[in-house]
Amino acid sequence: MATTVSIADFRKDMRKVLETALTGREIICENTKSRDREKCSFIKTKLFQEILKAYIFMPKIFYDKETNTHNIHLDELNLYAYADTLPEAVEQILDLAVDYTKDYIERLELFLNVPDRKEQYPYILRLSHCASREEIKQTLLGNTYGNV
Amino acid sequence: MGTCSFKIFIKVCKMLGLTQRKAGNRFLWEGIDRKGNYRQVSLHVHAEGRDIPNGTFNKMVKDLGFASEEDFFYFYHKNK
Repeated sequence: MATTVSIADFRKDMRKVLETALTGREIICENTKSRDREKCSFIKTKLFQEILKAYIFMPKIFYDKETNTHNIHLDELNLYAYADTLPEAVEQILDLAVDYTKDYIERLELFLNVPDRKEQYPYILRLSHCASREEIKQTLLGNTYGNV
Repeated sequence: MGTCSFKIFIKVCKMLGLTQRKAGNRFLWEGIDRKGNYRQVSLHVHAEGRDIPNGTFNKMVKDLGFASEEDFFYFYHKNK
């Protein structure tokens, strides 16, 4: 079972709560005084990143003979790129993913209220935890790109 | 069906009441459609003006809320 603490207890002993969270235990902080009893989870970041790895990107990469373009579909984020060469298409899909992630985080309230966009949130979180463009590329394309 | 010219795609976005803005390396078409649903389609700036390839066009049509490419073109011809 998850450990629940009130905001009052959290304030009283924040250090202990954080130390417990760092052991890997999820701490749920509850505002018992609010009408809707909103809750907030504290979890070790490294562990959270491990959990997010369950959200795998499955890009579709193909060549379109009619337009002579290389296409990449990132269905998890509804992003699509097409270019004359595969490396160009890869750079485009990276640009689109980086820009969309930024936009999504900036306008989180909007996207979390649109059902099909809300589903994208774990994928957005996964990308937002990437430290570099190279890591984003690896997260999005993994070994797929090398097999094309 | 096939490819779609960039011009037609943009015309339909306008017909749907979506607005365009540039955000980083992408042109973003977004807004609320007639059914009250939020719609968003983005294109890389380097893809602007180029015909949209078949499979990719099919995906974008769905993102705009059309059931199929046929629906997309029906809407275009009816409203142009």
